Amino acid sequence: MNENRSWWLFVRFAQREVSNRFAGSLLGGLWALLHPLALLLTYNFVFTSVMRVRPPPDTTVPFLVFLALALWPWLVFADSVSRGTLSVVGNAALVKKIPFAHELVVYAAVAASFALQVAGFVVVLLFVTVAGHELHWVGLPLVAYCLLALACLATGLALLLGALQVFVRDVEQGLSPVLGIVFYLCPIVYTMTMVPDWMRAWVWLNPIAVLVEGVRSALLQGRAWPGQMEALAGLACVAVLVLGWLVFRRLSPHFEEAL
Amino acid sequence: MSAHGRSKALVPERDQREGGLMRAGGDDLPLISLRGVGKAYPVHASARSQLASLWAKLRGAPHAASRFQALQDITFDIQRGASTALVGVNGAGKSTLLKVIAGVAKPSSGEIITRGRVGALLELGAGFHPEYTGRENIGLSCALMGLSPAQTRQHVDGIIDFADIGSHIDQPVKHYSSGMVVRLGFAVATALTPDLLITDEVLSVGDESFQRKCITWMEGYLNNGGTMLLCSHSMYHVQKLCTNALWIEAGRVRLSGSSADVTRQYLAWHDERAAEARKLQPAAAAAGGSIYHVRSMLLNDMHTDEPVVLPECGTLVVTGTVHSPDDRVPQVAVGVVKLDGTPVAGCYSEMDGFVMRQLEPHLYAYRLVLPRLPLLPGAYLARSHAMDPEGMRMFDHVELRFDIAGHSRETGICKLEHEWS
Repeated sequence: MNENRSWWLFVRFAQREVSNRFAGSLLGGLWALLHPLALLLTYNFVFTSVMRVRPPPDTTVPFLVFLALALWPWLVFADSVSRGTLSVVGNAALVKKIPFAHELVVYAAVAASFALQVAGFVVVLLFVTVAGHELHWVGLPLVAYCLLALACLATGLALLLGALQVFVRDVEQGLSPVLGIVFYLCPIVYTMTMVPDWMRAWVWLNPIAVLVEGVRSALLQGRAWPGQMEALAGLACVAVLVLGWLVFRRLSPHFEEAL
Repeated sequence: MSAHGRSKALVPERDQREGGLMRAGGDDLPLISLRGVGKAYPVHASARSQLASLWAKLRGAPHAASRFQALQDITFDIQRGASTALVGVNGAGKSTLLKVIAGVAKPSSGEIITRGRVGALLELGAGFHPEYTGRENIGLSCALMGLSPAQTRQHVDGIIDFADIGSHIDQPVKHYSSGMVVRLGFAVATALTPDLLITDEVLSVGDESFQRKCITWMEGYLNNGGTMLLCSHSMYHVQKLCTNALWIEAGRVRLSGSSADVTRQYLAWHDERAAEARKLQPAAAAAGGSIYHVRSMLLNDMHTDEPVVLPECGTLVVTGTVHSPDDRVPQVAVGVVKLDGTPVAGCYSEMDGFVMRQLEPHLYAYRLVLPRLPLLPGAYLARSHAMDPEGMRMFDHVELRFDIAGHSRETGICKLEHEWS
């Protein structure tokens, strides 16, 4: 009975999260697609027309497609972490006045980001296919695995940072520069083969890099199942999720004191 | 029995449509028991202490920061059907106590044992989002209150009816007046039938007719066997809705008992505070024998420092002596005021043609009987004023306190004879 109630509350929160992002805006849900598209075109312009980066040696698709396949998984992750981090403080009015399981607002924020951005990703993949570029659909299981692992990581980080944000408001300030740096530390606008040899091992230590690259290689090269790297990255994501959950559970009874 | 926080899982939810919400198990255990509950809020002077306290919370260790002790050592039970009110001045800790019992705040010490479904209404309209319509807000609010989608669908028409805000229900809440928000907020709560309903000052909002509607609903809820824990500054509501009351002062229970007793003492204390603030002039006995003054005064012939306690419609006898410097027969005035100084009534020997009898040179005595006092329960003062023989000038006064005890819930100062037809 209780699980059921939490589930319904989660669904309501998630619905609310999705509509909150477009409440009062004229284009509504289109924004979920417009913002990443604008980013994509900007990066494409900068890296092909201005910087004239050599096309990645081991791909056959245009840079635009190459970029799109990794950009969306990154955006899913970054958006859900930053929204999730702000969700507890954003719902302070509820936390202070109504008893409920606080983690639900974090789950809802992450779930809403995933739902919106993954939907955008699907649209982009369809466009790419219609435009005549061959994608390897056999890679879908690996894509799903990587997105799931990213969801775990995002949830774990959102729980951890969302709980800390209640007590130390600097978390939000620090998060966006960190995400900006991590973006360039991941093979999104470049491939791993372009990274100097001595650095490559370090870049692979980052589970986000592994998973983002996993999505791209699944669709471009048709890798269907997670390899050792992806498995380790997945484990790291679950570890972060557990850590985040433990911290959240410790701190959540004290939220009311600090909000 | 369960620790606080998981309490709601304890009693399985019963089917609310059957009205079978109360008396499951049929035991006499209290709905809620508090044992030595305290709540302290950290007060951080520096970033360093803030981080240290965060670290202590993560380790689960107590942190010795400077703390504001909002509640201390609160122990009481609420039995099924024994609705309880919290009274006290602003900042006494009433709202914090409600939060702790509702499970919004975690007690820093002590234990809360809950044996039933607790519904909390700490702020009307707390879950509302301004961008959405009233109807849309009902959905999330009901989910927050723990209703399933099926129950929500079943109640939504009733909620809209109760709120009675017409076509505004399909307008965004940001266009609502504060009164409409409150109406809708309370309406959502009417879909709930918890064993214990916790409300914080919800009756002080909304217009008169809406308040009546709320009261009617609450009475219905109580008649169906519900129990309420509320916090109110309206002693009328406290006495009307609650059998018990708890007077909270500076985070502690100052007095607990029947709502009639607690509210009477609470009001008396209030009046006393108001009186102290006004610093009544002390009796001018210091002037010695040179002016007319009251030498002694007794109520009901009791030689005691404690206030005399009378039942409703009791008889008060004021006796006293007045000093007359020139040995002419002085006049006397006797008045009754509320403890805060609000005048109730006054009578004059001069108007009534009463002549004081002489006890000895310069000393005259009077005796005034006030039968069947129509005063409502509360604290009062009887005052005797010495006056000159012409009844023109009033000199000093001496006052003694008396209390009227009783359970009348009429409001005001005195009881007017009345009959309904």
